[in-house]
Amino acid sequence: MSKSAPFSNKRLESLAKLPVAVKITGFASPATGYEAHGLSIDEMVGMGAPHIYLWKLDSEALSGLSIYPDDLLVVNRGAKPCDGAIAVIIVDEDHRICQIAGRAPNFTFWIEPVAGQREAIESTESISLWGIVERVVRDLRVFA
Amino acid sequence: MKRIALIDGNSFYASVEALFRPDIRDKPVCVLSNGDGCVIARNAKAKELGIPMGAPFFQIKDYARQHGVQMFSSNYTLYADVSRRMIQSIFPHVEDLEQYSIDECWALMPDAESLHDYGLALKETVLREVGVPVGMGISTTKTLAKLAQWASKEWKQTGGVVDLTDPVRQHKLLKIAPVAKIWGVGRKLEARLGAMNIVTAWDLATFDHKTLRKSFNVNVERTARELMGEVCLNMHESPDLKKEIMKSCMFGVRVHDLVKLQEAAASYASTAAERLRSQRSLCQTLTVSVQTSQHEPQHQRYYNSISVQMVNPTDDTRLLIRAALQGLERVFRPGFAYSKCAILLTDLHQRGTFTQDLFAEQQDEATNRLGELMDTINLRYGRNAIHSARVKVDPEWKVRRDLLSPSYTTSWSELPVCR
Repeated sequence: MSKSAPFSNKRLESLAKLPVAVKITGFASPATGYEAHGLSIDEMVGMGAPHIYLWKLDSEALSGLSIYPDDLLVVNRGAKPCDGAIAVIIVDEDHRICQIAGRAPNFTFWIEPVAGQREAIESTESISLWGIVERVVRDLRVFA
Repeated sequence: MKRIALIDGNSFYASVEALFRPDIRDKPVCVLSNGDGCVIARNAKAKELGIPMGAPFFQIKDYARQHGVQMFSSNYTLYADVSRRMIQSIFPHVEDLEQYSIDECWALMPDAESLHDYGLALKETVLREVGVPVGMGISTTKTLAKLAQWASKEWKQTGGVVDLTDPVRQHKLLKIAPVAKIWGVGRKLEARLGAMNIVTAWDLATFDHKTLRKSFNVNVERTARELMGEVCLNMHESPDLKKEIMKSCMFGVRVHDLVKLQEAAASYASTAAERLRSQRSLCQTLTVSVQTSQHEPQHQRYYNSISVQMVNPTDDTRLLIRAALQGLERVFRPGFAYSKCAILLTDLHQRGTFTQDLFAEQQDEATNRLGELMDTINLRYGRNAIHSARVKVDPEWKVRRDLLSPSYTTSWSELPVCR
């Protein structure tokens, strides 16, 4: 589990998410039997599924597409590549982020550091796919 | 007819290390045991270099460096997470699943037109979703499936999947498989069987079963029957619970003073108590031992151990730590460079199956609940999220793991990075 969660520095805060059984002493709640589970972002992105991995981005390669350094990437290894998908690929023994263009098996791989200025990723060796980036989580908090 | 598969990760630890390291995919990779002692896993390239299993690290260090072997400390946090993913990925595609070890599981395969093709597709799915290669042997009994799995590794042209459900093929393989490759046949047994002219799997399978039971034991007979296609071991037949629980580790540095030994003893006792609770046992005897390294000059070597009796069977972390510390004070002698401390829990009772000592105080319900709660919190929020104040989380003496890879999938600060 987390050594330092980027979302919260207080462990107590997350502990508070455990359901607390509060006893109702007065009138029985008319909502009994209608409670729903809270929404879960884990569930939405598929955290815990075998093919979902988290990555961190350390480049401005796709800043033109509003994906920035330090963004947290939710990567699906099970998803199929397709035109327009954002992907983590392996190029020359290195992990790179890119946008995929074209159709299988003739994909091309692009970066866009500045909006509208696309550059192709070239490699002498074959490029392989690590996974498809499905979501981006960004920390917008301001620390005074 | 049952279709039982044994599915395992190919050079699992080494494959996991390569998952986030494309630069080592085509290189020899070795993983070291706890404390960086010796080689416990190798990939095919490292095998080709002749690095044997169990080779002490200090002996092969230079050779490994010369040949560009990538060495890793064992990162069980990472392996356990990828193992969990591997099992989860297989699960929806089989009818039943039983995890056998960190990198192997038994699975009941569905009825498919070609089990070989189904197996290849499953292998492909796991590789795509999780990122580690698996292989499998499929047959009608566990013992035959294990043999089929051996064949899938022995003959590359199988593509890593061998369907051994057809009796004709079974017999063909049995006739060429050495008896040592059978599940449950170790070196000693191999030698004894050899003396009886049992050399191939076929020799064992066709030997008189009753004689096998008389000369050896019921397990050998069962193995022979399973080789002939008779199911003796069903899914989920779990081995007996552990009769003792041991927690010990070599320190990363030599320890001289009592305070640090106390930290270690408390920490190991705490882990042992967790294991005790996980199998729902209670323990009545705790043995604590300390020792110096065998490499010290003779007059500086020291070993001692002491057993502490608990009043009543318990699984209370606090009581077990107290017992460990009491024992430690009795065996500790100043002036030695300690290299290891061990905690052994014996005299285990399964909850609800022992007679209470009439005069002893029984473990109260609050203690039971405390243990459960601590385990739940640690399961959810990570190891040592809650622990006894006696346990030091990042001690100086901690086990050596100089070549540890990041915990890519379980630590926020160690996520894989792309650029």
